[in-house]
Amino acid sequence: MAILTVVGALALSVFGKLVADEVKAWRPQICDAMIKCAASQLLPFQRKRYIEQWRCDLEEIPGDLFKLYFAVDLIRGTWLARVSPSASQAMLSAIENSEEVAVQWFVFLEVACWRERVRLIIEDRCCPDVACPTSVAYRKWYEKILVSFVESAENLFNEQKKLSCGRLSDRMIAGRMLQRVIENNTEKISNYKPDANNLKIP
Amino acid sequence: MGNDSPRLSGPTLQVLGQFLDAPLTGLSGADIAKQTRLASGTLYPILMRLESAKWLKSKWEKIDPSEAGRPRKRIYEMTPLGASQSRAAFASLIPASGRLQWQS
Repeated sequence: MAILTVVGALALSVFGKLVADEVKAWRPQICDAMIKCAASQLLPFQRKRYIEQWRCDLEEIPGDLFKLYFAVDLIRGTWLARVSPSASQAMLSAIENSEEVAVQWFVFLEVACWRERVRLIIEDRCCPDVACPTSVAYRKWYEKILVSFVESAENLFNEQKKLSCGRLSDRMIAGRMLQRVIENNTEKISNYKPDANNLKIP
Repeated sequence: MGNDSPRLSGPTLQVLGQFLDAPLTGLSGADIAKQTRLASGTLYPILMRLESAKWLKSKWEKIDPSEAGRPRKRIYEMTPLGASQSRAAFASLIPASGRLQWQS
């Protein structure tokens, strides 16, 4: 029995050291994957910033175990933040506070709203003039960009839906985001000259 | 809407307290974590909420990462709105007993 205990303890110490060495060797990759996982819960335009910020902050933490804990807890925190009751509010604030993407969001949301209007017309629930009172002049432009926009726009729109956890309808997300972006960027938008050949989704 | 007040939980007050005592140079997320001992999953959502409420603002540290030999930090600073709201929040937490007077 005593021999078995000694052999067991020896095996455990050797195996434990092997596991510890493996974790130590793979720690940077594991942490980086976790940081990316945590960032994937954020809005698309926030991810790059937070990945860089968290990578830097991670380096200031001493010890491999604490580094792993930092990365694991980030996933918990961003997931909880995403599903919290204030998530949709925070999402809207983050979007409107991001000046650099506000104009692109305006274009994207206009397209999203336009698609909703088109759907209403197709379903014969709304006549074209009522559905598109302000967009007639832009209709040709919309038609031109819509083909290239539609897939990316749908992906992004679905991300916003996921972030709002189904509490907001498509129309409400688009309407509220559009309204706020317009309110906060009236001057930029009025000076904006759309270039259909050089449009980027934020 | 961007000025909606964030919920002032204990950890949020801890973070705000760091900024009221902070040097003018600002604080990185790691600095705040060291001082408050908050876990990353608690700290960063708080920083996000405070930033979206415009109580905090953040900017990248002005260094060249290749020269400095380390990645640049994201530095948080308190805005005047954040400072006034935080002071008001802390003032409201002062026990009222000191101000009570018994009527004779």
